Amino acid sequence: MNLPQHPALTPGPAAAAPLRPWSELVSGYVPPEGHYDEMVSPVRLDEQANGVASPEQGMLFSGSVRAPWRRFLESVSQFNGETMSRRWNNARHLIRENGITYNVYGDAHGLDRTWQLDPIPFILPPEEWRQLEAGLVQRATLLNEILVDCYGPARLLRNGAVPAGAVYAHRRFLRPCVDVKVPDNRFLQLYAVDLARHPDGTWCVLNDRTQAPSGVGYALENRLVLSRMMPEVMHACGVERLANFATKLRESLEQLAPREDNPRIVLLTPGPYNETYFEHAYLARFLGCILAEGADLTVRDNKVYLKTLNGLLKVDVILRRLDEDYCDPLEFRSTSALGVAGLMQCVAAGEVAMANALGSGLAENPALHPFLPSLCRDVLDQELLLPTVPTWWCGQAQERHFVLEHLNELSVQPITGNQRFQLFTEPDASPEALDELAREIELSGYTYTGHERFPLATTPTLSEGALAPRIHVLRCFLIAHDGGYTMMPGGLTRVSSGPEPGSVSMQRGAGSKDTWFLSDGPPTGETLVKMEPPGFAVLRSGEDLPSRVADNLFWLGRYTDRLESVVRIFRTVLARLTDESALRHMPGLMPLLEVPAGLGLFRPPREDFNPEDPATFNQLERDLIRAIFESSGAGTLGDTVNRLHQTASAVRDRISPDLWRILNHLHQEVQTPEARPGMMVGETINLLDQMVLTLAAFSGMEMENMTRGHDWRFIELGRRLERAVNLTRLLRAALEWRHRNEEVVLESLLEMADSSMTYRTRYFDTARPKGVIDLLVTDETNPRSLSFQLEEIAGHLQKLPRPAGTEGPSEEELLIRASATALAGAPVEALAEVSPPDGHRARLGGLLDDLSQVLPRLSELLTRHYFSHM
Amino acid sequence: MQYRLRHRTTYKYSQPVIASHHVSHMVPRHTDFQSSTEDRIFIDPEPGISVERRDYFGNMTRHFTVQQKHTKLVVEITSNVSVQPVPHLYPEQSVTWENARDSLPGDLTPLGLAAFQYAFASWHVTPSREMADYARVSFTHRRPILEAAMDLTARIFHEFTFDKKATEVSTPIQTVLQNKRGVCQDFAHLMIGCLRSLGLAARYVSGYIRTITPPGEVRLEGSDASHAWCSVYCPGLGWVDLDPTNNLVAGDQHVTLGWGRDFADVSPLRGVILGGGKHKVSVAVDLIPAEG
Repeated sequence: MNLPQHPALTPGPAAAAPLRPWSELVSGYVPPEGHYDEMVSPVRLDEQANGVASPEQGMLFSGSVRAPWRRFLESVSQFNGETMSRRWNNARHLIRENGITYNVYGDAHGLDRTWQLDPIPFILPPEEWRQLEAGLVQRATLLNEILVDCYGPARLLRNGAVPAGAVYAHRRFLRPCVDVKVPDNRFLQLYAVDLARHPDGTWCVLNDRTQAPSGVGYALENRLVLSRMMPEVMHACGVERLANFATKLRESLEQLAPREDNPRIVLLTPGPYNETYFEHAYLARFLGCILAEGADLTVRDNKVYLKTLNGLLKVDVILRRLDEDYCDPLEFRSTSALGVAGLMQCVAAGEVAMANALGSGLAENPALHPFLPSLCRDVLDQELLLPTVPTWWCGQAQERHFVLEHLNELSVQPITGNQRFQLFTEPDASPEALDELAREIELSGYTYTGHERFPLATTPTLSEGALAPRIHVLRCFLIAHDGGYTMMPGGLTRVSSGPEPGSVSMQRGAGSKDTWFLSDGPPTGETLVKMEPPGFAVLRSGEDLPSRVADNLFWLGRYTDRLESVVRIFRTVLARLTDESALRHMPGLMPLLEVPAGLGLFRPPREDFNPEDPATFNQLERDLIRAIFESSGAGTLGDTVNRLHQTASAVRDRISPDLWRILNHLHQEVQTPEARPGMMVGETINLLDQMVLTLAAFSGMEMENMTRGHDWRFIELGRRLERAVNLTRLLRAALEWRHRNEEVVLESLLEMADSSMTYRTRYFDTARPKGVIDLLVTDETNPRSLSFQLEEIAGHLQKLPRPAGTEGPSEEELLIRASATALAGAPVEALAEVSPPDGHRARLGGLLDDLSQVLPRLSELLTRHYFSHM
Repeated sequence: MQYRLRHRTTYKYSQPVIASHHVSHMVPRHTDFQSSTEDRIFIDPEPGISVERRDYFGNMTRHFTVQQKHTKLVVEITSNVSVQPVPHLYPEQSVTWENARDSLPGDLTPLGLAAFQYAFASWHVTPSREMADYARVSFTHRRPILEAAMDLTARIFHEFTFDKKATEVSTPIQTVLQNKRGVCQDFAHLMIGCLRSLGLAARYVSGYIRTITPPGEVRLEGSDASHAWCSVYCPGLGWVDLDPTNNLVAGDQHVTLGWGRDFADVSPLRGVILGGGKHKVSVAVDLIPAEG
């Protein structure tokens, strides 16, 4: 379930502390001893304070600040602290506007936590990143070759270059993938690697990310934010651009496709509950591919299809963000509901290509680390350029012994840990925990590795208006392109949240930085801001709208209107209760209470309820307020808000950030601590008023800001259908039988259906059945009438895609047209006519009866024809 | 020994199934001691896609997809199987279990490499210290591996109760070890877990046991459906099949379908269906000794 954003995590723009002048920022910066620092050179540490002068005095930063940082500081000093603060606040606003989030597992406030970006970039000079690039291209090539061998000829297992136990013990050695052909032997299409710096300044690899690497989207988004914030500084420093990388990624995915013309690429996501779902939605949009969950895909004839409104469309390439052992419940993990049954067979048949190839996770195995230098000589006939963090694999007797002897000093990891974004696990080592770990290592040493722990390098980070040293880890990305590997000239730098040299983990609230690789020539390629997403032309509205998305949008419309209906019902009832003439109106109120009661929103007062008695009257008030804040039970206000929020989360890539913010707002309104059953009637009415306004903002945004594609159409269909359903119920309760105090009932009905004003301006009179029936049933110009809803629904149905070869109106359309015709043919007089003995409006009753059959049936038909392609 | 094998699985669904994907391990594997003729597989409704292939463990599998709406699925395999008796074993002459354990990682021969992979955790079988402790009663210092393994087989047979109601497919072996109850699959998994917890290679064998009891003999457990047992790798001797459910060296009363690390690798028939509502499954197995 989505919870509101934790206030502490999302301070408003005004909350950022103002920046001090740059000279002060730098002179107050003291890196910890024993760590490498990115900005300040340790040999000159003692001179640093003297060496830095304020730019106002026309002096330059001295030698203790490293060269690339001097370039940065000189350039950034042209702006005073105030300008930078203002720009930074704007940038932070952009982050929230764009809805950049990162979900944190196991945190009550975790879902949709705002992405933490630091305004100070991470900077590497050309000679350094070029060296990293050479090492990483080699490493990607090597790991890919190891995968090709392990899933194919197994030469390296047979000659002992890769110890068999390291492969067999790894959970991601997927047996069904052995001997399955991978296009061009390219297992690693996208490769990510986490790097750290030793105190002596040399880089080493901490982790390889080979199965479904995350972070590219965040890196692009960070760049977008910083290039808005300090374009001049970026220009002056000569920062390498990232946009080409995204274009190349799209190209290389297309190259994977089994067929050449216009391949269909989907990004397979585990869904909105995944920690990096924002990135999935962002990347899908950026690359011009369709965001799909497992349930959106299906297998026929060994081919993968996307279930869309138009039926099944063949998928050629899957960019996978779903863990591989979840991908196919038939082959890998029988309990998974996230994958696609039969997918593995389609891969084996060469009908669909996966990036990365199934089985690639084996290369994340840290047990391979100690063997990489010799493997590099064996496989590539080269020396390994970039070292890995010193690693001891406990599958070997001597190494196991060493790890057991040094448990305190090493960082021990299971070889198939659920590491995700986490980088460095420090054992929280109580003696008992260490003893338990030792016993586990003795039992199954194959599954553990020990790693050297060393002080990670620090980099300047903004903290409370000043620069503070924070430890960092750099994630670089490479893609297979043109037969080799290309590195993104940038990356994703993550920094620790506090000064203590602990771990760097997005899961634990660390921050991130834009990563500047400085150019040795003029930067090439488009900037990200100007660039059109590479797959832009591929996005068409509607045709390949996945059925699940259409389903969710339909329900988004339904829940929005259901919520409005519930809010208006309660607001009307409460307003009547606080009215000073409430007691006089009580008899007329009783039928109204039956409306929320009939919907299960409210337990109706007992038969012997006496409105004259203040005690029972107060009880009624309290019951009503409790019912409003009740969150359990289908259809209640709280429940509807939650469902609305969940449904919206599942289609985040389809709705605008503004719409999303409105929905967040609604969710927060009912979750505020004040929104409790103890609230006063007046306060409750205020809250309901506020919700009506927020809902109006949603409708306005939907009507004015969405293109009239199928996605909009399904929201509208849901809204109209739901409104017709609720209106039918209201009319049955209020009008089908004549009530004793009919005018009170009718006034309330008009208010619940938001038509009081129209009625009054039209009739200047108290509510009378004939006028109310005309306004709420037959008047096709009133957007709150039944007739209006039916006409709208019919119009939308007419425009929905139909299976090829079908002609004429669809089953749904025929159904709704019949009801609309019946309604149009009924004169208001006849509908208002009451049969004398029992006060029944038989004609109206018959009409409403028909609608209460037809509307649910319509929802069923839509579900069957559009949402449930299997 | 000649057998006529018939294994029929019927699924009945409360709602129509729109499409279903299955993978089966139902054709008897050919081994040094076993061969089969006239293997026939019958699937109704007829699958749109049906591919036979050898899996990673060398078993014949069939992947099939039924793409027409159905409320009932029948999969039936028939085969004539011929099984040789196992040659006499000399357990006391096998290598010590420590020797077997220590030689595995360095054995790069095809047989050794293939065997070694059965020494690791798998979906249903995760080594544990409790299982290691249980196994050590049999695996005493420098005891010949087969002698120790046969002792372990006997202990499981005597100390555990065959009880169909005690467990399900998903019951962890840790629970089986605690409650000392289960069915053949649990005992096979438990024994595999015990052996792996000592660093030895052990695999899961799926198959059948003869259904007709000769007069005067006790009816064997597991005879009304699929059966499962354990195989232990003894360097120099190869794989030896031990049936802890019946305290037997698996011989010509056992028909082998295939093997893997555990049940998940070789379950006779599994699938993922789209639609279908509730389902009922019934399995009928006949393993009848052929005349003559």
